[in-house]
Formats: sequence, structure tokens, C-alpha cells
Amino acid sequence: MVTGLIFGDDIKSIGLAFLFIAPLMQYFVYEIKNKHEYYFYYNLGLSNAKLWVSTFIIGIINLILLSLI
Amino acid sequence: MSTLHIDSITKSYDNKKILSDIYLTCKKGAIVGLIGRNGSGKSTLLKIIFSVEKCENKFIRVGTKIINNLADGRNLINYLPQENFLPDNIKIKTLINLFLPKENRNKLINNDYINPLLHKKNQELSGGEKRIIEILLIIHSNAKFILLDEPFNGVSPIIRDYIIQYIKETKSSKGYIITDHDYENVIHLADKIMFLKDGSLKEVMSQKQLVDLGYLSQTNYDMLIDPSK
Repeated sequence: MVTGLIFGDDIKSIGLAFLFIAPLMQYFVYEIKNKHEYYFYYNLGLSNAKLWVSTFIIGIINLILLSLI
Repeated sequence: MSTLHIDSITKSYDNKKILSDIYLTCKKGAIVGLIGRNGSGKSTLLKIIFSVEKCENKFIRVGTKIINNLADGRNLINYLPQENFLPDNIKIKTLINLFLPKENRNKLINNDYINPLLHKKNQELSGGEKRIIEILLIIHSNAKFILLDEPFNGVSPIIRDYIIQYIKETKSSKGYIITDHDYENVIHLADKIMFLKDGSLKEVMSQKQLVDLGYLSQTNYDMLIDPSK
């Protein structure tokens, strides 16, 4: 509902909301609350930069897919 | 790929040198124990070797491959941090499938300590249960060299002994660098002991030397040599 108020309620806006909310969630959950969990990904060879880039790429893919509906 | 070479590691905080031209090697099948007082830089050194901590200078090589970043060290060096690192809200079985290569998964799934926990989520486990899962995950990963930073934090003596035995049994296929605040664990486990003090690393040739280096008191040393005292 909040995302609907900020970004509008059409399906494209949901994709746009995801693009903004997913990085925010990642920031609060991993960078602030559970920073040590990054070591799980580090041990798989994934750096901070790769994880952030993947979050944005997934957000953009979501946006594109939802725009096509 | 049988030797981990660490050379020229230099790290400073606020113009104070924490690590000064550190040189260390670890061969496959060897356990190197890293000891030192609190704040001496043991964890920092392990993080630099794992490429998650920046430093002024470093040279790290596994076999012929030079490790400059995390991606270079993938499947070569893994690191167990002091804190629990497994993500919450995910079942242990899923974490095993995500973390381990297919051929090693059954070793954990059939393990007597792990098997009853497979369908629980990480946040439902005690600190000791989390720790044993983390250690076994790291040991059975593809990495050739394992860095264990205080692996026995929060584990009961019986689990600690199990882990020590487990590391001894599996050490032929990997090299280990291990630190622990309980020096007895390291001394009994390691083939080679390195002492970190004032940013420099010295090999400890005898346990008596730990008294001379100011790491052990004479009383602790006497108890180590003869526990009946």
C-alpha cells in the first residue's frame, strides 16, 4: 500500500518500487543488522560489489518483465 | 596448489603498524597455529589472507595462482570468522546444498551432529550447534586452505574435542591456519606454532619459549607441561 502511494498502483510502478526497495532492504538487513552474514557469500567467492550489482540487476530485470505484462 | 605463500603483509591503523612484513607458509596437510595476545592482529591477518581486509602491501599465492581478491581465492581459501555467519531464515539442509559441492553434501547430511538439525532454520539453533555446522561446512568446502578464527567459541568441551579430532582426520587433504584464545587447543592441534607480537611473526620452537615471549605465565606453563600440578 505504501509503495502504491509513493510509486503509483500500476504494475510498472510495482517493478519500480522493487528496484528501490530491494537495495534498501539489503542495506538494512545486511549492512546494518547482519553484517557478519556477508561471510557466507564471501566464502562462495562473492564480494560486496558483486552482491550489490546483482541486487540492482535483479531489480531492473523485474522492472522490464513487469513492464512487458 | 599444495602451498599457501603469504609474504610482505603490512597493515597500519592510524599510523600504528599492526602487521609488519609478515611472512608465513602453510602446506597442504599442515596445521599452522597462530597465537598472540588480544588485539595483536591475528584476525586482521586472517582477513587479509582471505582478501576481505585492505592493507598497504600483500603477496598471497596458492601454488602458482596469485590471490589479489576474493574471486581469485574462490575454491582455494575459505575463512571461518569469529561470529556466526550463516544466514537466518534458511533451513540447514538448504544451506548445505548452497555451500557445498554435490560430492561432499552427504558427509554433512549423514553426520550424527548435523542430521537432527537438517530441517531446522539457522535462527532456531543454539550458538554451539551453529558453530559445529559452520566448521564442518568450511572444512568440506572445495577450498584447499582453511582459515579458522577462534573456531571453538561457544562450543562445549565434547564438541571441541570432536572438532579437533575431525580436523586431524581431514587434514591430509587441506592446509589449516587456526587461531584460538585458548592456546591449549592450538598447541595440541598445530604442527607449527607462530606467535604474533608487535606486528611481527615468530615461529615458536618450544612451549617454554611462550613464557619468554610473555604469552604464558610460568604457572600456566607448569600446568601445561604437568596438568597434575
